[in-house]
Amino acid sequence: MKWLRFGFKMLFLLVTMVPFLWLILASFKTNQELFAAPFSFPKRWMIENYEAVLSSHPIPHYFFNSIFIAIVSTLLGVIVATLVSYAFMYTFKFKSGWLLLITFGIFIPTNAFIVPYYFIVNWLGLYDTLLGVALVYAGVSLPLSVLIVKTYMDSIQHEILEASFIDGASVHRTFFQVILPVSYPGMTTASIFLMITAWNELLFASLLTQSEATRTLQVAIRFFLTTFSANYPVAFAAMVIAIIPTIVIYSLLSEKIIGGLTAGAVK
Amino acid sequence: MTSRQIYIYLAPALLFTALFFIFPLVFLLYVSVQEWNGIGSMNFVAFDNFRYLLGDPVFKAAMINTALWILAGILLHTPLGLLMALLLFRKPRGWKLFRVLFFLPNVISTTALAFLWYFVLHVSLGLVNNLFKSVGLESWAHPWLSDPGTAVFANMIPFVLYIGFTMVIFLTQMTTISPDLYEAAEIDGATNVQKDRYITIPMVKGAIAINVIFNTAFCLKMFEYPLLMTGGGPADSSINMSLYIYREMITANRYGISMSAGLMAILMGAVAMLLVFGALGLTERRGKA
Amino acid sequence: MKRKWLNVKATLILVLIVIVAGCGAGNTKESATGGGNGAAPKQQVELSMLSSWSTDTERGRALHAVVEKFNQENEGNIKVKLDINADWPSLQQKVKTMIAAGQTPDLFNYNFNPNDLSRQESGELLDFNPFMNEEWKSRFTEQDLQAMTVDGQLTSIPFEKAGILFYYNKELFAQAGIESFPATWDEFFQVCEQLKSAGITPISLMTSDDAWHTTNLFTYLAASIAGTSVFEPGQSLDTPEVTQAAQYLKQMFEYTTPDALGGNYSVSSNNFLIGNTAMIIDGPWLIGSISEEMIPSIGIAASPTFGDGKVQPGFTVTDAHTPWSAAKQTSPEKEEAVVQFLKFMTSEESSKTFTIDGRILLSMRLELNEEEVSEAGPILGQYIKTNSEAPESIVNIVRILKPAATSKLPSLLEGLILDKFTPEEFAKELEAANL
Repeated sequence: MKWLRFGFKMLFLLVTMVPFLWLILASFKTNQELFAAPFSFPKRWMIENYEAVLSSHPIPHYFFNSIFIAIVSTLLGVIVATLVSYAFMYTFKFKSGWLLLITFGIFIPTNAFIVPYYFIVNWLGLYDTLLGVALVYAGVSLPLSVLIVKTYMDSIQHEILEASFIDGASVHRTFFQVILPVSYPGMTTASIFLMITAWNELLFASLLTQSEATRTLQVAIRFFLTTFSANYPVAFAAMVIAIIPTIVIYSLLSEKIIGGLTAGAVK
Repeated sequence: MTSRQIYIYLAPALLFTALFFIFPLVFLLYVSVQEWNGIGSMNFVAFDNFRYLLGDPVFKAAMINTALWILAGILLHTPLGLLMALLLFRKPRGWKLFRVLFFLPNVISTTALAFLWYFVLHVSLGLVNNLFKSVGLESWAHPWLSDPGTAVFANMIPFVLYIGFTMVIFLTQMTTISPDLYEAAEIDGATNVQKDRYITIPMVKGAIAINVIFNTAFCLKMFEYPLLMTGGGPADSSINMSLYIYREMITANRYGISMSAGLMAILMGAVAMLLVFGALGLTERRGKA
Repeated sequence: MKRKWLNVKATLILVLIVIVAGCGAGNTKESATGGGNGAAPKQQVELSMLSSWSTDTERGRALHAVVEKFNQENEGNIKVKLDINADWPSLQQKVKTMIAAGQTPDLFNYNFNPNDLSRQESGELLDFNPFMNEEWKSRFTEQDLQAMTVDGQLTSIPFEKAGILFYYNKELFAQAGIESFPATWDEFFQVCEQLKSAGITPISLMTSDDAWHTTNLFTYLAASIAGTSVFEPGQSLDTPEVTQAAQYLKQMFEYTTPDALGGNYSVSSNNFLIGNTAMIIDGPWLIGSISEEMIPSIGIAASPTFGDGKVQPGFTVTDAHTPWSAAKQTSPEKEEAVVQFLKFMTSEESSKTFTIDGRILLSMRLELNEEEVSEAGPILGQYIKTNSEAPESIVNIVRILKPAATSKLPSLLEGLILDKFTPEEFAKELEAANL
């Protein structure tokens, strides 16, 4: 049984490691090597692919844009989701109606919204700005963030709300001093989701930005995959560079979540 | 709590919902009864677009394939995520590393993953077929991506296997379980499997529900894998709703049909949820205060 | 209680301020870049130009160089700001949405399709007729200008019109004992058979996305059977000739790689570039991807014909016209700047840069001397020569159908290959989608 479990874990590890290792391997090939033998080692390791990425475009600048958008959209998304999830800890009129209204959007295939989002962002005067993209990301992911944070808050025992009121705390003070401190694993999970979605998104980023000043990393990666010449290994090199921060962020944030594992349940 | 206080907490979310869902949805509803090429004037056609969709064999294939995706999400992807979360929750040696490694594919862009799996399943260069050949099972080698019977399943593989988010959501919920429960179970001499079966799984019902919703939503929106791995083919055999919407809009420039299909996708999501939660009897836990 | 109230209010207000401040920031930015509408007389006119040609491609570097040069020559007066969105389909989608929103980019390029005149019909595009003096007019052929004229308005300036030719690998041909490129289709099929029996895959084909290499072949076959007017708007596609072409195309899938079905442009072109296949039908942009060692063994040829006079030998299939269009302007200075820039883009000097450095085949008249042709490299030289000798041409089918039919064509082709449709049904379905 123990061996079975170990074997299963190792097999799964292989399945999850393959994409990453393959991506790194492929990023050192020539395009023709990639298509001739996708899984073999490169004849010569093409460091040039990385040089091509870093020298041909202001990658650090795009990096900054992507980070800005990821952070702002995550903050906005998590703040809004946490506020509304707190409201749902109480009973009030049409509660399930409000919840449905805020979360129904999860089933909407948002790629159908290209045109209205362009109009909205323009109307806000945010076309070709980083904030415009961040706002759209926070908005599109809102139903998801709300469901994540709310599900977590639902597991908090409501007695602590009552206890807080008996202590004479107001609704707002209860939020800041009682609920927020115990909700962070839910908020962190939502942040992981929001950050990584924002980091990897392409469709809206290319729709809502135009100039070099607002270009994100993902939009820039398309430079290497154009209709007239697609150089996959160079694009992969750019992807490898783009992946590194997400791994770091995930490692740090997931530490936060599982911090709760040792702390145990909500008091 | 007075209603005024509640609305303060609700307001930002309502603002976002109005801006990013309600207004676009009104637009979607409006365009779904029009004929529109994306630039010129619209032409009211009542329910012609829906009639077209219902008569279009490609749309039918898209609905069936999307249903298959959703089934794979609920029956394969979600349980696999739960399984991995349970394994990690026991904190085996190196679990912190595993937690990062199992999540790794989720930070890699879909373009790269689709490309990798295109090559893994490639008819002549592919890992799968070459593996079969090397162990003498030549007859098992198969054009996975270009056989109409297997293409849709081939497209699903990366989605089914890469369970990072699902696993994290389960793990998050597991942190809320009181250790007292496990201590009590240990005193009663419960095995690990029994603890999972009688404590952990019942306590993460909320996360199961959330994951089912998320994965259904994901399947309704996913178009990159079919687009990049098979182009929805061969002969539209692996197209899904989202790719159909995308193609009708971007290549065919038939916004009315595209938006009608979008509306059908929303309905499909709602129906899927009713079916799933009806069947499982999982209802959302209601808060009381 | 009251103070806590303020506390939350403050948080909410903060969130709103972030949003509002963002709006403000966006607005100031816009007025800063979009200026030139009024203001001081001696202000620099800024033009925003959208294209997909990134500087990672030869054509992108050529475009960049030409724009730079123009900006230098007009420093202080006009500045063209070139914004690149590398993904062509999403750029096209975006430009359409911008036109619909009344925010047409100052300059943009697109694939001209006589069956999709939505951009022209929007009324948002600048008519160049008033600016077409004899000198500028002489840069183009009457035929191309006519083709770009819609409802009497010249809203697009002809620019790229790439001939699509046959690339073949002489070394692989020699291995199969073939000496020259076939002149008739009967010989062509024989050559394919010969290559196949020598263990060489004859041709690169694909069916994903726009099925580009396959539709090139299909267009060549159909035009050879029925002449170069076979796909003109208004013509039925459900004809014996189209059926016949579909029949031939289906046969050709016996001579291609197993990954052609469902493969995309990269898969198919790389099959040729790594020597897996002996032929491919593509545009001049492929030249940049040919490896150094392979260059001497690559030949360029015009299409075979059936030798029955339906088409003139040497005819070509071309990609769509990819012209430049501009937004209607309210200020005459800006209008003047747009015209001045496009004159510069289509000048003889710029045309040379685009053709030799960018490997772009243009609509503009261009006489290259021997030296310039050799400067272009052996393959491009041969390419330009073969292309310029073409007595007539036809645009690839996937570029001239109604958008609905364009989106259906790849799956119809796959259906044809998988025996889901007979060639007759293929022609019928294609016509139905194009109505």
